[in-house]
Amino acid sequence: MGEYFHAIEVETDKCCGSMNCMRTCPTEAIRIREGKALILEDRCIDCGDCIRVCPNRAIRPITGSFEDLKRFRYTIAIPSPSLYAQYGIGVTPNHILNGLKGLGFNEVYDIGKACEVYSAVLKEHLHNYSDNKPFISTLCPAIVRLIQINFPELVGNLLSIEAPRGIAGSVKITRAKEMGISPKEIGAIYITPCPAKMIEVNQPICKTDPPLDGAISISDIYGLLFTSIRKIQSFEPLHSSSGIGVGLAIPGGCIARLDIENAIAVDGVKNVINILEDLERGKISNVTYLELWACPGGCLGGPLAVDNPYLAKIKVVKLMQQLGMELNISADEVDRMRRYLSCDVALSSHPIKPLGKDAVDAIKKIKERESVIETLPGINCGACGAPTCKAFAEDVIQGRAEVIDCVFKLREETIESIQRGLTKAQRTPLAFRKRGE
Amino acid sequence: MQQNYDEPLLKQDFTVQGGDFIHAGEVSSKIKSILKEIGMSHEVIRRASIATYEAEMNVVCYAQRGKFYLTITPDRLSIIVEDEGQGIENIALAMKEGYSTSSSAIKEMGFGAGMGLPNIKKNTDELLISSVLGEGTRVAMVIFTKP
Repeated sequence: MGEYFHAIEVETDKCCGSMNCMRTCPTEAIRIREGKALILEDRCIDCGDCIRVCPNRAIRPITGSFEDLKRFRYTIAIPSPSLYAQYGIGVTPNHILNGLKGLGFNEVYDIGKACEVYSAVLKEHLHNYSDNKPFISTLCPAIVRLIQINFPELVGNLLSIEAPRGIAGSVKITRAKEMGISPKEIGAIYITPCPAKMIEVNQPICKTDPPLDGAISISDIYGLLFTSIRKIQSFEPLHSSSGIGVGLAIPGGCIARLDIENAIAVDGVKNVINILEDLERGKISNVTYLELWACPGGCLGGPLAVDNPYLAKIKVVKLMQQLGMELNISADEVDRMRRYLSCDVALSSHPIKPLGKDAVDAIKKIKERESVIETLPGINCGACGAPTCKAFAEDVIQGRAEVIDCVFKLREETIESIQRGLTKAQRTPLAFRKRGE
Repeated sequence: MQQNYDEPLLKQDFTVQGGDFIHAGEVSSKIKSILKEIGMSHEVIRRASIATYEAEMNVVCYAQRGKFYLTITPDRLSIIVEDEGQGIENIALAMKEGYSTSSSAIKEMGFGAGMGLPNIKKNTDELLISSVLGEGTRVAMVIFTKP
């Protein structure tokens, strides 16, 4: 494990170096070396776009399994709001919560409650907004990383409010007190649509102690959960939250009830990069809130979600209508849970290292890179193992590659050296050479 | 070691096409990524991004073409923008927040709010504007990079 935890790894024996991941990666964090994908740890934001495009399923999300449950005396399942929309319309959130319990968890927590608390506090926060900059949501951990790495000067815009899954995980503290055991003996396990949530198990965004202790992917649990639901004879009433919870599974689902002007939701890493660039250059004024998601379609589009995100969205919208968008929890309850929303660590930035050890050195390297780029074909073929000619030129000046690792440069150089040899070979031997030749 | 503060470390120039709203912002993005690669402070990057973007939009909105000359010396960034365009009749007035000579068409596109030059002023340490009406404008801005 490097400086920061990553929730994605390459299974080298399955990887055939097909480059789909390298070409797709929105932060150019993948190279091909020794015929295998190599993830550059300081650039990867754990968005999981590479998982979707790998033809050999060689990019593995580092999520947990049911084995994790054995590590704890008491376990709480916390479903992602997106799980509520993964099955047919007949499978309700209550069925899903009962089904999860049937899988061996001691308790299931209705994430909708935490979403309601989150939404109530977010609303207050945005209404007290006075600073002349939009707040950026920290709901998506991949976006938080994107900002920490590629937009460090925007870290100050990130909202320091714990996400619903973290609020839900903090329930273990209350439970531990009631049971008279240590919170460490309780495992809060998130059922996740993406690997990025594993970051919060290992390196939480705004807490010293991780509120979550593990994450199991929706795709791993999907079949088992369905079987578990079908086996249940009588359902306990476990679901009592409003449509706010499930609304958080889609971009902008909960913006309307925040009752603020100029809040926008953006999904897909490339679209998010565009909006952040606009923010950086001062083009975005009078926008209060940016809800940003790495996956197209928000959490429903997570690489570990099962159902087609567009079909799942129909179910989310129906559930939002059926359950209503009003808070089902009391103001007292919001206040009781308020402490779980505060962050006890400041968000830091992890910018990509400058090209050189100081400005002079960096500028020298920029010039060197420009002169290498000029000689390259500029077609981004990828045969050098870098996603673009520019990235390859950078590898060259940083000593990670040689110019002749470009197949076109190799070809040029080989032709030249053959020509030089040919010219030499065609030289008439001295004994036969005419004077002046 | 004595450092010569006037010695440019990097000189680069960029062309901006007037009226090209699709690619507007590309030059300021390029400048920003160079500054990031050099390891300039967040504050310098933020100020330079805003100032160069506003200057670029001015070229796109009011000129046929423009040229950006970026010079980086050990203690400052200097960006000179020269355009061939309509020019500014009254520079002092143009520096006032909210003052705009924009056509309603440009305003409808969401530009020309009269904040361009004031924003550049706010985000630079030195600013020199000269203009010949009907010929073009030269905006010279400096941002100090040493605290």
